[in-house]
Amino acid sequence: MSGADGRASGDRDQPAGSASTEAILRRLFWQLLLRGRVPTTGGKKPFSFGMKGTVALYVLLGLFPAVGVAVLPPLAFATSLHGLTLLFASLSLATAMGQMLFVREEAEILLHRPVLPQQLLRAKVAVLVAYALIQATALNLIGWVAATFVEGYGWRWFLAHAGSTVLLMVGSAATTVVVYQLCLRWCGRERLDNLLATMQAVLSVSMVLGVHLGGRLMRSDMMESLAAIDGWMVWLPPVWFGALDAFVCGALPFAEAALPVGIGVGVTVLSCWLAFVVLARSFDRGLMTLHEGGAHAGHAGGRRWLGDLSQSIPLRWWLRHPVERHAFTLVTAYLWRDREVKLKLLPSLAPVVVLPLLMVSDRDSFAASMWIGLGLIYQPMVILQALEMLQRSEQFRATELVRATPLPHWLPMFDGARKAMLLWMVLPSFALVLALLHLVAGDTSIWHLGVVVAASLPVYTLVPGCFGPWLPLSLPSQGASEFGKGCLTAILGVFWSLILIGTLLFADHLGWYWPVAGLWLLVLAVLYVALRAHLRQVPWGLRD
Amino acid sequence: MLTVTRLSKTFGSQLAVDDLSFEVHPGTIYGLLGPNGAGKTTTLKMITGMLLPTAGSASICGVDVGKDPLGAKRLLGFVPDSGAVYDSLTGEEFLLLIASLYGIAESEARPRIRRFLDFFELDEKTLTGKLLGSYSKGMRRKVVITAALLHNPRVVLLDEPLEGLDPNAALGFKALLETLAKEGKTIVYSSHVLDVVERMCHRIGILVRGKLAVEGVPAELQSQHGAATLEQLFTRLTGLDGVQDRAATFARTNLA
Repeated sequence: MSGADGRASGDRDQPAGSASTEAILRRLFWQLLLRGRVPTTGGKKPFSFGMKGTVALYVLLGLFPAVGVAVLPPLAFATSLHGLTLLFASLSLATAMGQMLFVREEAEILLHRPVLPQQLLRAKVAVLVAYALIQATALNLIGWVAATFVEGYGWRWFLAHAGSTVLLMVGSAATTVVVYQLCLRWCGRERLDNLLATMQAVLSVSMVLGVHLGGRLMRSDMMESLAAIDGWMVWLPPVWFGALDAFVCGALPFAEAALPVGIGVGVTVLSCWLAFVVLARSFDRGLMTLHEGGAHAGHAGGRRWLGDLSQSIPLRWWLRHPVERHAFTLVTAYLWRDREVKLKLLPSLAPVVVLPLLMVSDRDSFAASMWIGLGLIYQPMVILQALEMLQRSEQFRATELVRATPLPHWLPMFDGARKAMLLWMVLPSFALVLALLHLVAGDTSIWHLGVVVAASLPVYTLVPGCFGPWLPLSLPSQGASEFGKGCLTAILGVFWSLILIGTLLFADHLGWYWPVAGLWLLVLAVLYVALRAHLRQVPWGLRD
Repeated sequence: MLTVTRLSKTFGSQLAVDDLSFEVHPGTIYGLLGPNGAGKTTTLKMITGMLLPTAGSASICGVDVGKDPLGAKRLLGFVPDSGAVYDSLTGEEFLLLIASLYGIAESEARPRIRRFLDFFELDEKTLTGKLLGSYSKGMRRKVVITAALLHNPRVVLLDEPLEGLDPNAALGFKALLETLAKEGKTIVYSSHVLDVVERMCHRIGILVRGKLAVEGVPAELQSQHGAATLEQLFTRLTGLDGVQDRAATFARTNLA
């Protein structure tokens, strides 16, 4: 036993030369962010891209806006880069913050230690902003460097864009912190979970909309000067920081740049003051509120519907296997009640539902049906992403109970989970997309296409099980490395969907829609049966 | 010394801790008992500053937890019942992190960790090479206990500390607590394991629905209430009399 010093070591202040509490916490949160959570089973770590892979992917993604340097004026080019940064890096930051800011277990580890709430908050935000800046740098890298060597940009552009990107990310972080803190203050924990998920979903949708609308505007008049654009555009963050870049490299006069740059800097400073000075003092209250939520059981009223639902006649028929029925109940409960699942799923899927509408709103330049088809290709992405996320949970250890039971095969657990996902997320979002497409496009051909795409949805839900036993909530969260795998599966899913919808549209163009649709329905049916047969052969323990 | 004065906590309309007051003097092991949901963990979390009390206060060696939380936290060590740790750190990384939060330099922390390692018979390879997520429950518990005692606190709060420990480790840990008490530490021990509490604690308090039902020396309380054992006293106060008859009836009707 220690104690040789003969006094309570805790009495003294930090010794000279040792790292500050904030630095210690920053190092900790970096480790946690980069390592993610680890499985306790001691098995192989699931495949993931990791930090380097994600950064490489972002660098490649940055190629697309970089092409614009040749054709766009500095204001439009800088705005497009900031738009992309806002879409990817800020969204990733907002999602990561939802998961990292208020971790329930953390109260038990850190809240009884000599750590100030401000230190805890600042350390977390510093790590997340730095992580988002790495992503932002990767996204901007090619365009940023390439523009430096183009006439009209130069070294001043290089410095201006670096500075404005930092401002954008710090501002995004501060705004997210303010929103979360206020939600927690005003709404309490129970409502906070729903509010956070909704807020993140709204945030991600508005980011997608903002970037898309910005892109459309740039195409129409090339954004030579701010005078040429609508007044409301001045309120979009990418325009604030794009204007700053354009002003610094001499492409925008002060009179035009003053308003957007002023708003950008003002909003950033204000949100930083609110987040890191005013509200930071009470960050521990937020953690305590979370803890209080864990300490006393929520009211049971209004929760009986889930039991009643799974016992209803249509669902008893659809979920004939009792294990399947209970897996359905488990996943439904998590979809409706669990903060972690809601925080992950809603913000990630909301933009995918909105994307098709954006495509249809552009239909002037192409055939409407082509855009509608493109609007539907994202459906596999919804399913694969949702199932990937549903496999991960902070409570992954609870699956050990399932593994300990004499359940002959994991398939009923998988079926119950994917059916819950189909019923609560996939089918409603698909119906919403179809209805919105119909409203926006006013084209009835959407329903023909919808029949085949709807028939393909159950097939997509089987895919995740092909790689090994799939149990809901059975894997730990993978933190920063999750993006890569999700991106790869989404790309493959969209590629397959592209073939399906492409052939249908081409057949429609030739007047052979229904024969080809019938053929596709047959292929999908065969594929479904084959996949199910394959899943029955995948034994327990393949992944372990 | 630990002083709890008129501490109360409500969650919505539910009163979890009700006007609780007690004192624990240096050199004393104080057993905090009560059935599930009696408010033991909530009380400990208010004392450690993890939960804000609705009313009342707690002080550690004269330092008010509400007014000077950092000062109070430096003086106490807490073993939470959840045994929460950062799963993606190794045991050594976690303990060095905790030591640094108390201002203990790495050069000083390492030999201390080494001594705990030896005491708990923890394998160094495991501590340095494996992530905490892959530790057994007992090993995690040893790490959490080490993290609570590493900074040599004056007041130690323990919430079900023996859970997951093997008999040898549990025996060693109990002996350690007794030694710490003799050295003048203030120890609060919350547990359901009554025989351990009976043997180790100098004083006990039994919480029932957030209120302190009785408090005193175990033997004196037993004789005051005419109970042969602490278990009998506990079941009598918490309304679980006749539990053996109920168990026998249940087993006969449901498990025979």
